[in-house]
Amino acid sequence: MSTEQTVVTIRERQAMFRVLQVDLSYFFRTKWLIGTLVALNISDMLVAGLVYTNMMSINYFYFFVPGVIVSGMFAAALDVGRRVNLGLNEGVTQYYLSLPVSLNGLSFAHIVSAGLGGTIYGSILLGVAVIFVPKLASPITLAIVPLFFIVSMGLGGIAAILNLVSKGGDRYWVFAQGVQMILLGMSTVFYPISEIGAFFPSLVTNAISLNPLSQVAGTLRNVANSEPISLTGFGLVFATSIILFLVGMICYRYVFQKVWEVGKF
Amino acid sequence: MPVAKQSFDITSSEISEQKEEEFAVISTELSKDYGKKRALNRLNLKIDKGQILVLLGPNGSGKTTFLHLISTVLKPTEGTALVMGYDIRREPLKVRQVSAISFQDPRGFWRHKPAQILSFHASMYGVSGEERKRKVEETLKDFELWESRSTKFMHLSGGQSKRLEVAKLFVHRPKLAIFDEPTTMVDLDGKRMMWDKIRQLKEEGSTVIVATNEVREAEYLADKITILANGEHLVTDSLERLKDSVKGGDIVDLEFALPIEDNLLKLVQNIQGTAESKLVSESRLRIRVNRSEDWLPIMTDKMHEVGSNRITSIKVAEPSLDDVFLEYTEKTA
Repeated sequence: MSTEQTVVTIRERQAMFRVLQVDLSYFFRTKWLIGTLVALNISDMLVAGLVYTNMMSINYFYFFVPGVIVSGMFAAALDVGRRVNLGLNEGVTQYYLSLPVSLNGLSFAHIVSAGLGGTIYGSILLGVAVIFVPKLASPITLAIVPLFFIVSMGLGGIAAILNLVSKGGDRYWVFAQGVQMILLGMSTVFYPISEIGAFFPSLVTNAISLNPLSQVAGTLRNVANSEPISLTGFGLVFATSIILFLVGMICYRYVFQKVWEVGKF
Repeated sequence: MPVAKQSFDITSSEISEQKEEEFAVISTELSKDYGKKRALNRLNLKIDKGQILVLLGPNGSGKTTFLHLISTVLKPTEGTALVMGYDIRREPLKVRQVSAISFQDPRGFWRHKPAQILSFHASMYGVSGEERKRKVEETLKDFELWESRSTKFMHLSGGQSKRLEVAKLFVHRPKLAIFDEPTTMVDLDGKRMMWDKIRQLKEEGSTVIVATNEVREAEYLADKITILANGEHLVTDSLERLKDSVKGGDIVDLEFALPIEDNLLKLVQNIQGTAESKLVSESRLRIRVNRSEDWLPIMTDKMHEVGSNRITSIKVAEPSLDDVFLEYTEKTA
């Protein structure tokens, strides 16, 4: 590799890092929006909790806290996609296309920033949760942080798919809400698997338990209850997230390529 | 379009003697379609390094499309261009490293502040640390944005956001600086300041391309002017030569001591280069000529030969760039 090529590669890495930084800085600028989204999820969970246990109990609280963490991570990771969508509508993507960063670099930066956004938000919530659920103050909890990153990268991939299908209009928000309803609703984030099993056939129940969000929430609950964590679950989450990451890269690449070719998406 | 073709040919024969490295941009058959509409049609243009080229053209003439193509914001439908030797199709990343564009509509991160936006832009081009901090501060002050440095982009006025858009290119000084209507929405003082900054950029070694609708801006900035219309390249030349190319563009007002007689009027009309003559009063004649500097010596010689009526005053007016612009664009309308 020539010196010029090396300089180009280093510069492009730096440029990708800067794009990632901008995405993340937006994340901190829209913290109230994410807070609102999480508050909505929490209110849903409280209603669900009151309905199926008739009252709040410490057991439900232990169940409830990991759910809040996962829903916060979910909202944060998908919010990066919303900002990419705004960028497509406001011409920021065209600005990026004039800067020394490749289409692949741009796609990668957006997905990784979704990963970091989800990790940061999830970790902050986890930090707060440790105060209320002391059993979470365990070295194993630290192992959950990379899990947040992997899952959030997968969610970043979903955000890229949403950007592709929403065609740069205002539909992203609607589609993201739909995905949230399906992925969080069809998981054990809100309801224990025993409750779900009572209403759905075993095939659906199995699918719900395999949902990566169920796996993350389950891992957190295992730690909170001092139960062993499932390595199979980790593997499943990793595999699903890698696939979603790759699909997301292809989707963003396609979207940006389209903007380059026709001037808009 | 005989005039346009002739003028372009003069330029091409001149530039054909130059080497490829001497050009900042060489576009070859560069075309862009939006659906079925052709926005830019087979544009062949060579832009010298170290000069300011102004793109003039009516709305929809293809100016912005051309700028977006050479800054790799858009992909050509046909043809290509070399920017500082790099192909916009095959080496877009390298093109982006040597060029930068200031968009017609300011593009920024809505919730960021001007200082952050400039800092991000500089960092993308490898300006780092203290140097970045210094350049950002200096540029904010130069563009009178220092007071609004902590205002979010979405709360800036139209003029401020336009200044910020232009200021981006001054934090890293690219080899090729591209400005799309840099002073729209900016007040008169601001325009002057920005024009001076753009000229300074050229003096420091950058090649500059400016697209504009403002003739005054073009006159102030241009080393060469390219006129586009309907996606076609009409002409590229210096302002002086473009003015000379307007047939009957110079206006000569002659005042005589005595009333003008028919034989004198015929004599003037028969001088080579006279496009049109008109009696303004009994002793005053207005003549449109192609090149007043060629026409006047011939006219004074003839008057001397006749010697019957003395000229008391001569006033010469050159065509404005408006006249040049209309001359070329009306031919394609």
